[in-house]
Amino acid sequence: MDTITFSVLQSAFKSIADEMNINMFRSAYSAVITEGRDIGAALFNGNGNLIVQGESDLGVFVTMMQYSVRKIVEVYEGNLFEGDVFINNDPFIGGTHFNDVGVIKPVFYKGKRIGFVAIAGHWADVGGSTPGSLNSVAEEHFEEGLRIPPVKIMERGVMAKGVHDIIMSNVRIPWEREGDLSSQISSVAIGERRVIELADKYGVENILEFMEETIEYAKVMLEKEIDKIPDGSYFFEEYMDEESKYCKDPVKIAVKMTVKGNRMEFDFSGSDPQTRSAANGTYSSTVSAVIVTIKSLFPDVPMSYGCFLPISFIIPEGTVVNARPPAAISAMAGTVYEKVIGVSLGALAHACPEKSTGCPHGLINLVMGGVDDKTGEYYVMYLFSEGGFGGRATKDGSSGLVSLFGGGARITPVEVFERKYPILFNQWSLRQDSGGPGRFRGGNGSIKRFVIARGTAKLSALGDREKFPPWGLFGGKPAMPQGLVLNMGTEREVNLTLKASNYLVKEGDEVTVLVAGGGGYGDPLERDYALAEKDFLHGLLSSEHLYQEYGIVIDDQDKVDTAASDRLRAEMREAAE
Amino acid sequence: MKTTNIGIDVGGTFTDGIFLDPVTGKTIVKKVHSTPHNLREGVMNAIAQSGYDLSAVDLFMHGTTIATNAVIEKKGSKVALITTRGFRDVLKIRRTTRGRLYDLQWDQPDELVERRYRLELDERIDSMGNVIRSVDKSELLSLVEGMTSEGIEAVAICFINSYINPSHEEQAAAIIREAYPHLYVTTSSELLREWREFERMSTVSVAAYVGPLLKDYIDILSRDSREKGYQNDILLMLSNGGVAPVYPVEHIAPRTLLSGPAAAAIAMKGISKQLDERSVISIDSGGTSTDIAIVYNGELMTRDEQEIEFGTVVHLPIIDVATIGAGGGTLAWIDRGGMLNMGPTSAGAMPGPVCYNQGGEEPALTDANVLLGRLNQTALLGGSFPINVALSHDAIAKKIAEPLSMDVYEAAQGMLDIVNENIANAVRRLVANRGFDIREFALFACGGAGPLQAVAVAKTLNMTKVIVPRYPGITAAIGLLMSDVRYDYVESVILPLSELAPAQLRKRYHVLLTKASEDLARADFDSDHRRFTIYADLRYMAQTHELTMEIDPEDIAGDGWDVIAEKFHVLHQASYGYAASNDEPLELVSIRCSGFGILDKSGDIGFFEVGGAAVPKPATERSVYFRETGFQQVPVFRRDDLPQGYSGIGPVIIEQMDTTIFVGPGDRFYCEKGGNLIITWE
Repeated sequence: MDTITFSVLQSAFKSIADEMNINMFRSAYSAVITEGRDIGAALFNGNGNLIVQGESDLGVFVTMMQYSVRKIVEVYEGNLFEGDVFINNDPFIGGTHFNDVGVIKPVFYKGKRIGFVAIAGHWADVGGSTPGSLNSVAEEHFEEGLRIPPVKIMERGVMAKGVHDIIMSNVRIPWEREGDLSSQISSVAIGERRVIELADKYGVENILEFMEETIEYAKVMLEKEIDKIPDGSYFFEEYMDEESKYCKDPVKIAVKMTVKGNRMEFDFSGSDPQTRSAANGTYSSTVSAVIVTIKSLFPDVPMSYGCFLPISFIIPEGTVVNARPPAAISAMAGTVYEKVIGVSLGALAHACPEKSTGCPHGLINLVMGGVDDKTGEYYVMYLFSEGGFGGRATKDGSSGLVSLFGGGARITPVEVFERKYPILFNQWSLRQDSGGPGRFRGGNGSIKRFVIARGTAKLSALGDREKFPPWGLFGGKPAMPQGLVLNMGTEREVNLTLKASNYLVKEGDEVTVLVAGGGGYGDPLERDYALAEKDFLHGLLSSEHLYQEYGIVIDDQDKVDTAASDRLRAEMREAAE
Repeated sequence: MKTTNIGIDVGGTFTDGIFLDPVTGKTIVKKVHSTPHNLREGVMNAIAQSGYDLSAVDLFMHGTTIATNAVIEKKGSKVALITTRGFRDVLKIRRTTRGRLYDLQWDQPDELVERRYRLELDERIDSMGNVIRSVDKSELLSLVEGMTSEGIEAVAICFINSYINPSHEEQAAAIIREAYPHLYVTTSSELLREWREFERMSTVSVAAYVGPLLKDYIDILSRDSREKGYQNDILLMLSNGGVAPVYPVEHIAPRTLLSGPAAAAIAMKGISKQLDERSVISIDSGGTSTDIAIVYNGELMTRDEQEIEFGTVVHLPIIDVATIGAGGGTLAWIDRGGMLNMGPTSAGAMPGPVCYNQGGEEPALTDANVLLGRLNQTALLGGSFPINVALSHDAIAKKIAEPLSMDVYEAAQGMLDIVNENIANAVRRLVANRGFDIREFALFACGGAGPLQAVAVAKTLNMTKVIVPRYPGITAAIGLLMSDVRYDYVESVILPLSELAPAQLRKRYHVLLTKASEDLARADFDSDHRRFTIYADLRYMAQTHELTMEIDPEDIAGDGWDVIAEKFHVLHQASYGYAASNDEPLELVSIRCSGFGILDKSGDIGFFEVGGAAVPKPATERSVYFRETGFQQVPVFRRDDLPQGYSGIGPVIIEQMDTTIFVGPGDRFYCEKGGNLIITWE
């Protein structure tokens, strides 16, 4: 295929994914979809391999959905018809947690299947023992809601009433979920129509050829990048805070990354067994986290199945990075998935130091269900977190961003929260001193404080990095850890922890969510004075923190006292030796 | 009553003036160089050169990019932002998204107001509008006091939940204005009464950032024009496609960021209407970008937000203009995977495309058009700007053709194809988002580079007609004279329809309509010249996005919501491909009202007399490349020579001072009334 047609089709395919995403973003019912944009839309070839995603689709969705689509091909080959629509949320196949429901449609052109269009989004509830379905202390996935393997929700254009009714009978507030489902079904119909229009215009042979070439294109591009990484084996390991409520021991996640020529292998054999909590990963989530990390080091490589091809995996079954049923998995995103990103970044750090960064914060999911005294109505509220990223080779880490795998996700505004739920925010801002010290420091984490304004509610959290905060690189220091505290700074203070489950909160209680900054990069004693002065001026770092961690003295004119700082740094260096 | 109106649009390179004589009905066009060091000089030059006496002018309409440039070039005022305690980082955190999905080296752009100038006041209002903590005057004054020594010029105020109760913002503004009369003070709730604090905070920050600059400019321009005898307030083109009196500046400051593109869109709408075209899409291509706007069924499409750059949002009604990096200066480059890309980087005016011979080395779209013979190969701008085609050839050969192992002309054609596809995709997205069928539309080509690409873009989109106005390069100035005064009002409601009686809604609309009437009266519109449209933002109960629906007062005249509900289901189906069942509860989020002050316009603005012989002769011919047939000789006409009613078949090139039009082999062209050129094909 000539490069011009290729380029033209690349942009046309991308705009199809965008169009599906926009349609769901604007017309679904779950607030986390329509405010949070917790959505992934993508196109796949006839074998179910990823071709393209849009500009705000979540990496975690598009990379994992590939496994679901392939499963459909495997199970339904010979039984796929025009007008079929599949639904799926099975993490052991290619779902994330049960809340993320994927809708997938095969696309036919003149009777021949040429590909698939798909869109996933976070439904506010899919049943299970807790409102919102996220349950950090679940011991089996049966507690986390309805597990839907890839099944037809529509066959030949007709709704499969049985499947539909089973789903709607097992979720809270089903009329809202009807809205989510309708919006997804209309999105894949739009995607299907656009692909057919492209085939009409450019010829179906060209479309099929493009699908293969775009995979090859990404593969070759990534191979060139890997080729530049020195051959060798690189190790990294880190720990999740605790195994489960039965065992407070940390859980190891370890990787051996081997680079040979233009190929890489990620071997997770050294990782601990799967846990008896909801903090478990699956084969597809672990692969996805590695791909998302690599992609973020080489942003020019377009996301497609081609990004998977130069990389092989060893992920033993029954480990925390490849749990088997009936393991619970609803805490995956904020725990194992983030840790796999962490160990991958750590292994890559020594392979390509100029592209790597200190460790980022980890996602915190918070779910609260209660009754508003005033209206008597039941509500389920979901809040995710943004935080700091690690320092980099030439500059500080960024602050106030969502996780690497969810770059398209948007925070819900305070004013929307307060109007929809009986809570009142006291603070939502950057967290002073929370970035890991370094020559280039980690970005600031965030702090959110809200009060229960009316009634009572049950609060659950899913997150990690309380005992093992984001680490620094090349002399950079760790960031402040994460946490969840009730009535912080008062006599009624309770450390709820990020493993809180169905904790009863009452009117007047204040909940504080502490999100980590990123790890530092390089020796903090080498930090530039002018940068430090700016951090102080803007209130991002306190003078005490600058003194203790950076050896910098701020004088009473709010300037760096360079002479005093030089002396202090010399003392600190000496003491360290 | 006939009036003498003038419109002056200031762009980066040229200042365009358009003058309408009420007696003869004639339109005069003047193009002078812009004067970047002091923009009003160019404005006064254009007026002076036209020979018009400002004391005889009734309405002076004006378009300016001063606010847009201040934001893009980061040259706005030093602003202090005052917000509720605990929330100063809303401006920084924004909505937490990444501008590039996978890129650890990416950073958010700097905030317009630095963190140390974002101050927190210990006040609070809850989501129902109840006061929890009042504004403490001495606390507020001490905050501002600390800032004055820092040289702050403007203060933006944005408190949480001010959309439902603006009293704290109003109190704070009054206190600061009284104590510091020289400061420019603006509040989020006076600009928009909608929820979502980031969008309001960003909007008011932009307003404060551009306000003082705009005010200085307007004050001096107003003074100058008064000295020359002009007696009214100057009318400024706003992003919503209407004009408004320049005072009070606080009202218009954040509403001028799309002044130019909005004016061009108004011209597109006006000219299309004169040609009886109901649904039209415009592509307005200049040196660096292409603006795309839609008229559907005679109405310009609008939306509720503009993102000036990543994370800098103005949440106010604007003409729905999509901008993409595709223009004459758009650069070609090959990525590491060996794929040819166009833009979004542009060579700009300096160094410009390689053929300008100003030091540019990377081939631009214009280089491809010059090499293929579609643009004049010796000089542009009506012969006044010499160029060098050999430089284009060498650059495309070396930078594109050789690395891709392609023929140099094929490579140039490929550059064109990619730009056309990029524009087509942007058009498709804009149209598809609204559920329209693109085949119902004609394509309106303007800007210097638009008419060259338009036919190819239209064919890519399965469209069948292109309209090229008489002066594609001055559409924004023409739009100024075609506009009416427009004010927008919005108020948050956020109630299920079941908890609201139509009578209550009628009362709330009445409040907005009264305000609109008062503002129009203040701008000297009598009741015969006022028009009003009302809208409702509705959604299904659980959704958080709304659809804006125009309301016929008859729809809410009775006691029930049946008509509204039915209309909404239809609109939802058309917009998103599904509708909920009839008993699905609806929520009313906001009510809106637009008040229009209808300006007297005379003559056929945008229609020009055309001359020339009944059977014009080509001025010259030149060799032009076609992918299928290679080079072939193509006649080149001068636009000025084409009389009304003349028609022909391509390939033909038509040149004029401000653009070049390309008519492909077999395409028919026709000189319509008013000098507009229509291109069609089978």
